[in-house]
Amino acid sequence: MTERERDVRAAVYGAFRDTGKAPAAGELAVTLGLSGDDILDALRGLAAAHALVLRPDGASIWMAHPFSGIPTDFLVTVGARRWFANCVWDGLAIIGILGGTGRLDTHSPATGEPVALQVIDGTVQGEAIAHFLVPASRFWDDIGYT
Amino acid sequence: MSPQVLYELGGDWYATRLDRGWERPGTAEAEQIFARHGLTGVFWSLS
Repeated sequence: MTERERDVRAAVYGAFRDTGKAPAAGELAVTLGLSGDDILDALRGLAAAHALVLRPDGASIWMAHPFSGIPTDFLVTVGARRWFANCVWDGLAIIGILGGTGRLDTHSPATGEPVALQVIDGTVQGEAIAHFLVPASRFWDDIGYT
Repeated sequence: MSPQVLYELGGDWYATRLDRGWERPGTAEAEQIFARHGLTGVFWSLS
């Protein structure tokens, strides 16, 4: 990872943490004082290194794990702020890295029933069982499916 | 996997993700993280 990629990655994660949304390349360019091409080069380098995932347009951010840049069925609430996560693992992780108290709302993929997991000071309340469909060695074969 | 184990795995896996100096964990380090949460065997192997 180059120093520029580190700067861009840090700015991406800071934006997700602070706003709940993926920053656009143009916003990153302004924040970091770089050209749009420099930002796109860095984003593509980070994607190639699996440090984040770009949308099919190759220019906007789909995932910066555990955050999702698009709406998903994994809605995290911490205080009055909200984030979308990529999966239940990531949703609980967002709560963890943002202080350990929050709520994850999703639905059972088996039945469609709402599932709410409340985390209070690191203790999870709520009934659920998480299943992994893809072995760890193949997580990145199709990260959107994983 | 219970939500509590998953929460703790997530906290461990993403503990340094917001840090500028974050590095993607190598195979051995990633497997060690899984193992700390009881996740071993072929399904969790990255080798």
